[in-house]
Amino acid sequence: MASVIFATTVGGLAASWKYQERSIKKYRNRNAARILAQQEMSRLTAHLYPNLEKASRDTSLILNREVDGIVTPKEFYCATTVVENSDETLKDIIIELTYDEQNETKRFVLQTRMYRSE
Amino acid sequence: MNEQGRTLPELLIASGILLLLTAACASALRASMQYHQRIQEQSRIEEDLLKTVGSLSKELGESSILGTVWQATPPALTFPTPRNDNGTLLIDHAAGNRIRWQTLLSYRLEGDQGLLKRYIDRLPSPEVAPPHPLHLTPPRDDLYFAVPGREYRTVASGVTNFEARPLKVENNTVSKLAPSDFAKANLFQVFLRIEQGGDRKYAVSTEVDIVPSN
Repeated sequence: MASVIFATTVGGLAASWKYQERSIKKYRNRNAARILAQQEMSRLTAHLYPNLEKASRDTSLILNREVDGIVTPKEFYCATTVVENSDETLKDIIIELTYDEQNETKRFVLQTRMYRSE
Repeated sequence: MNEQGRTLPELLIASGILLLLTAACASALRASMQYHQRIQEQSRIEEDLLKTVGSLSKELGESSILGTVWQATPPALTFPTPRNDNGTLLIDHAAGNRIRWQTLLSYRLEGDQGLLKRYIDRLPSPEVAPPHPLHLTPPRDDLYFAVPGREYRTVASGVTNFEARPLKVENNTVSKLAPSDFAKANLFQVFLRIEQGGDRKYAVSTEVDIVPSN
């Protein structure tokens, strides 16, 4: 009986540990993506309305994580689209950040609208 | 006579097993807490790195090659910005919407703890051309920023490397320039590395290409 309780407890702890580790890794990538997208948006919206297209860019950033001298690079791709409406009164700015995680590509999209009068 | 109860050796063995289990659980809990603490620290330095690189990229991107000065020892990157403390862009509408330069920023790596500080230096009056930090009176050099009371904010700690490399882009070809040819560059590559931890070292680093656009 005692051995069953012990095995269950240890198994539960190990599973919780693994889940927590995976969640933290996901959270860190998501957090990095969020910061990068917000910064790109902030950089872009600092420009004047007529210059938005010229200032938009597709870029990538490699974040090197290093533990005990072992480097693990993580690449984030950032694509920016600026679309003006037919009346030429506003522009939609879409920032799409993508990165690979556990054999799938994750997307993080940030969108805002800028008016000519701003 | 059949006596109910446990013998002393049985009790001792049970207590021993209980003690071992408690010790194992306590050790696992301690390791888990240390791991959690380390992860929190790692997340913090990662956030510091990304925020610093982001703000540097934005601010230097709005600056001018003409006023950008890099110093390798101690590492310091100083450049003018057309924004004030509130982040407002100063535009002279009377002069055809030309920007005016009103502030100098200096990112400086200082101290044994690797503190990366962002100094803000307001110019007495807005300048028409991007001011060169070393041609101002007094020159905005190490001595100037070492004076106590200068306004700064620590943007990252534990910084082990902060470097700005000058590059030249011509006909879609990127070539590296010597540090002395900083003024000839039209693209800067900024490298930043932050390290934390005692027995287990953890570090994050990245490099970004920045084009001062004004």
